[in-house]
Formats: sequence, C-alpha cells, structure tokens
Amino acid sequence: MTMIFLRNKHVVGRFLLVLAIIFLVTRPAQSFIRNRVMDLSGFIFIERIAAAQSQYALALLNRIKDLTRQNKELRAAIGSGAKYRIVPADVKFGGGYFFTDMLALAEGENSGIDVGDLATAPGSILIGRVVETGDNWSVVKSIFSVGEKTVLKGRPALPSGRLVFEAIGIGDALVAELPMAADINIGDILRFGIDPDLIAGLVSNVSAAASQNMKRVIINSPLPLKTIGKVEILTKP
Amino acid sequence: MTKSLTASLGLFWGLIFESFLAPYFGVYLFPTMLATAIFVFLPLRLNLINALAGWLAGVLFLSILVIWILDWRLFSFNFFLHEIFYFSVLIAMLYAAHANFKT
Repeated sequence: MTMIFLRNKHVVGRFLLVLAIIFLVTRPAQSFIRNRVMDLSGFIFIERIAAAQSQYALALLNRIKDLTRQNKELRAAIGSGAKYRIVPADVKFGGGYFFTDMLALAEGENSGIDVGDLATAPGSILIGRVVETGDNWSVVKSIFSVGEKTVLKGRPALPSGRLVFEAIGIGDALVAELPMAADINIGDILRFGIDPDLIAGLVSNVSAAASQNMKRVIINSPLPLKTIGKVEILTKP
Repeated sequence: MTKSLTASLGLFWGLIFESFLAPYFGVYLFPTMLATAIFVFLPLRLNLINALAGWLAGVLFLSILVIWILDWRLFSFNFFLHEIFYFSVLIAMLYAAHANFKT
C-alpha cells in the first residue's frame, strides 16, 4: 500500500482532498470552522461588531424604559407611587428683613428630617433646602439666598421645556445670563431642574446683559419668604 | 472696659448672623467687626460721627464682599434693605451700650 502511494504521488493529493471534503460536510466540522471564522472576524470587521453591540444596547435600553413605565403605571394603580414622604412643619422665625433668606422650623431629626431635604410651600412651590438640623428644629436656606446656585428648567409644554440652565441667587431673586436666542419670556414658569414637578420661580425681567448676544434673566419667587407660615419637607420615603 | 464690652457686644451680634446666614465664612462677621472697630476706636469727640462712619464702612464692606461672591453681579434691593436694617440695629445697639457702660 505504502509503495503504491509512494509510486503515484498524484493519488495522495486526491485522497487528502476527498478526506477534507468528507470532514467539511460533517456538522461538527462545519461549526468548528464557523466558530473560528467568527472569532477571526472580530479582528477583521471591528466596526460591524460594535454596531451590532450598540444595537443590542439600544434594544436593552428600550426594554428598560418600557419596564420603568410599566412599573410606574402599576405603582400608580396600587397607589404607592409617592416619591417623597411629606413632613409638615411650622415656621418659627425667618424671612423678614433680618433673617432674609432662611427659615427656622419647629420640626427636626425626630420627625425624620435630614440635611439636604427639599422644603416646599403647599402647591409644590420650592422654597429651599434643609441646611442644619437638631432634635426638634431645622434651618431651611432659600434657593434665592446670596450665592446659592440652582439648576432650572423651562415649562415642559413649551419648546423652552428643553431649556436647562443654572441661576445664582442674589438675595430674593435668581439671575442668569442666557444667549439671545433662548426662548424665554416674562411670566414663564421655571421648574426645579432636579425634580420638574416643583415650581422654582417666575421670570420677572428680561434685559440685555453686559456682554453682547446675551440676555440677563431675573427670576422671582411666586411666594415671598416672609408670607410663609407653614412648609412641607420632602424627606426620603 | 467700656470699649472692650461694646466691641464684644458687636462681635456677638455678628456671630449670631454668621451662624445662620453666611454663604461663606466671615461674610457677616468681618464687616460687623470692621463697623464695631471703627465705632469703638475712632477717636472723635462727637460719638454720633463715629457711629455713622462705622455704619457706612460696614454697609460698604458687606456689599463689596457679596458682590465679589456673586461674580461681580449686583444683589437685589431687598438684600440692600437687609444690610441697612442689620447695620442700623447694630450701631444703635453699640451706641446705647457705649453710653450706658460709661462709668
């Protein structure tokens, strides 16, 4: 046998070819080859794989969004969709001409109030943040207080709903410099950037700023601090 | 004795507001200290002039500090009223104390 092969060398090639074809036709061999090619294609067609993965990620994100919406609907149906636990508190002092931009409250850590909680007036109007707490007292600093920076958002119903900017407190108002093209008018309601359910203020004045192509916007509170006798603290549920 | 008592009264007034309202350390304390120091140590015979000079210096210094904090923007009119009330009460208190501590 070996002698025959050695004598007719062209037969060896044909024999090996037949073996290769038989090997290739079998299924395990096919999957082996396919896997190796797939592995290699990772090096050759990188951008194609990246695109496939990003599509996969997009599909996942859509799925998550869908689940979040379903979750919210179900929670609303049960009635346990509250974002915050509300603690009502009486105002002891603050908001006049002496303590202009702070309120001292008659509730504290014993009621579950923490530093950083938001304080609102009834009607979901944002007043400020809790900056200090004791056992039975806490201090709220107004968002209009000097040097306080707040992120604001336009009304969602308008195209300016996309407008998000930072404003700085100047005592009893907020001021911000925006480009001339920004869609903002006197009387617009601006909402708190972190939680758009809360009203932060009303645009009371729009004028030209010192620098060119910019306008200066002044935002006032719908409620002056000295008229407030009761606040609601939004604590974590 | 009179001077140190009056000065400590002014410092105490500044510390109360510093602990409640100050956006940064010393925004209320330093102008109050300046106003008190000018009122107490200005060597004029007529005490009312010392008081006015202290009031003016305090209001100006607090205004400049706050404008600096706001990146050179002007504060609101209500905040200016607050400054005026704050330093008026401080200086009235110091004036009365200075008159009564005299021995």
